Amino acid sequence: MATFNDTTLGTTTGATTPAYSSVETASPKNITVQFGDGYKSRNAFGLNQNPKSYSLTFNVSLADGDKILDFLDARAKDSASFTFTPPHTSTAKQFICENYPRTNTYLNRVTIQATFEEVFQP
Amino acid sequence: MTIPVEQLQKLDNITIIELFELQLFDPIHFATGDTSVTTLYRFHNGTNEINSDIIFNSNSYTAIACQAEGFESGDNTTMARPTITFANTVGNFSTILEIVNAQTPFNDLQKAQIKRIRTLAQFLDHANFTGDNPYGTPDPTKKLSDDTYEINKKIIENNQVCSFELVNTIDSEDLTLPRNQITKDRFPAAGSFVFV
Repeated sequence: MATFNDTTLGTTTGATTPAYSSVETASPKNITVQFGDGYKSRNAFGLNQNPKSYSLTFNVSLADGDKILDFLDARAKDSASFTFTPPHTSTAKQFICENYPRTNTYLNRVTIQATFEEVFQP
Repeated sequence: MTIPVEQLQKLDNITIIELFELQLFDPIHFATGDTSVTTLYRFHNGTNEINSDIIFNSNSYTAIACQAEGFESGDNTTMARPTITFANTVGNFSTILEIVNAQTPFNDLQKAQIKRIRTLAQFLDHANFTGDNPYGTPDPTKKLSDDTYEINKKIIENNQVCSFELVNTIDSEDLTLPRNQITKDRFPAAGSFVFV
């Protein structure tokens, strides 16, 4: 399983660190039943019902952007997940990325907005 | 043994785990004495907390996208016919059907048994977690009552899903009464009764 970091991608140091204002989204799946007053019954159905989703922005040079896209294209081709350590966390998690538009912002500068979705698989 | 009621009535911290077993029978689904085929498949829609197959009662349940719906309990006039749907994106279920149909043509897993096991997360084996089970003590006897159904027919098989209709084990379509015809040599009075 590939890892999304500078060493694997061969980018310059810090290129795979997303810019500030990255968004982490959590939407746990619970079965909730409430009738009337404050009594509410909440159950989960199965383990791993809280996959995180990260909306990440990479402001990088054109060469680094190509390497990031090459990595994500390769994952799209073999439909494998990759490990990535989200910003401000210490543990690596498994992710897939199905949406990564690239914007040519300036001469030799690109912005990649990638959505990483957590998966639970071997 | 069933799950104690107070564990099921808690407002939170309940996670129901749904497991499936697919049991094949000889000589319908595989040749008698053939030990090379898998006769019992175990499935669960998901993985455990260390991203591997879930383990309950030391049995490993393969992670495959599956959904079962339509289980009914209670006093209905009609018997429930649940539907179970498996992901078939890499042809994994088509492969099972192919093996079965090689033994009995057009069988499509009819008469195979699907068992639904439901338990709670606190009764799963320690092997599912880093360290011990953080929710409680593993106990393979603690589960809700098993639902055992037979596959009645294949509904859908395409490159995305494979879906089956299940019936109760006493809801057999091809079973007729009387199962034996009684003739005069077995029961001399047969045919001589006159009902007015």
